Amino acid sequence: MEKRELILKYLSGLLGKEEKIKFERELESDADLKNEFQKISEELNGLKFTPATDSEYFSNLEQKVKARVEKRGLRHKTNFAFGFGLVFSILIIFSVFEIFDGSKGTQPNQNKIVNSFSINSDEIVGNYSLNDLESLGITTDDYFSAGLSDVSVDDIINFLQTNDLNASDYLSSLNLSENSLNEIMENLKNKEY
Amino acid sequence: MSDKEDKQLIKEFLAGNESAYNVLARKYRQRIYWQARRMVGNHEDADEVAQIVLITIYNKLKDFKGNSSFSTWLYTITSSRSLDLLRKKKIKQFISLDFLVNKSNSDDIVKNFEDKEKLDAIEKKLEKLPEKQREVFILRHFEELSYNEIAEITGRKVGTLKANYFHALKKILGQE
Repeated sequence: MEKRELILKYLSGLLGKEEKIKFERELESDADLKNEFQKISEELNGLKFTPATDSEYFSNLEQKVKARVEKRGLRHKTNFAFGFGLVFSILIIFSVFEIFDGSKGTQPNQNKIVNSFSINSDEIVGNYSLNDLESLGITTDDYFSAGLSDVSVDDIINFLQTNDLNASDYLSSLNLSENSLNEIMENLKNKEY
Repeated sequence: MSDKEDKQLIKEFLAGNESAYNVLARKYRQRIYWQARRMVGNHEDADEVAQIVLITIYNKLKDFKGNSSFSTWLYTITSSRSLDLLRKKKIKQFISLDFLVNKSNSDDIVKNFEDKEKLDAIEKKLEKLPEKQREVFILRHFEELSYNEIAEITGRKVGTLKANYFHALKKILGQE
């Protein structure tokens, strides 16, 4: 094995116990090996150099660290406040929609609903069943209030059952003509509702 | 200051005494900086690593179990943060042309011209080493740690570390 390679193995601790003892003996007796070993040691020790430094740097380092720690703490607080604010805003917006969402009320504004779908009364009578209208957000209330009494009795029963409404109370609350009202009530009786 | 004293300071810091942290930071700041500097090879990055390490210590002292010495824990954090920074730089260089820009060393903490030249020469030699070999070489040669301590820091086996150090020596001495 080449001398340099052997020295590097020795310095790395890669030699076995016996190899190590043998190497240390040779180092005592072999002048060339000793010379090479010293050369390498000096070269390596030369790397162990820590220069003089700007004395202010290390004292400023602590200040920089302190500032960053405080900034991080502040950022965490800001993030928390921002997150809380965002959730709170979403809840407020959601609540406002819940309060003013006409389709969920029991007495929705007829004009608003009909206008929002741009459907005129004739169109409703001609083209839509009660269930279709419900899916569009137009309730029977609107339907009846608009004078659109041309609706099947089955549809009315279905609507009253779905919404758990008393037929007499509900129909009385609508601005229907007496004739329309009587007619519907009669039909409901015939259907044994 | 012994490891026992370090642990006493940690205890005091965790009990709310902030100045105990300052004592620890003052004791170890130079060692952290130079370990990082040898790993990353320039002042700007070493400064960043040193700050991150000191912040990490501040935030994570409560997690220090005391199974190893405080200084071993510090070597581990400094080593891993330096490697993190080197990896990030590699990625950054891969996707940009940052490596074409010469890094200004005008704000280096080494002001003496001769010292600077000597340090540059050492940093160039260390730069030749792959990161893992560099890590082992720094911990063994500069910090004079035993292989068992380095194994604790790096999580590698002693046999592997010896081989890493051997190849690092060969490269440093210009044989590879």
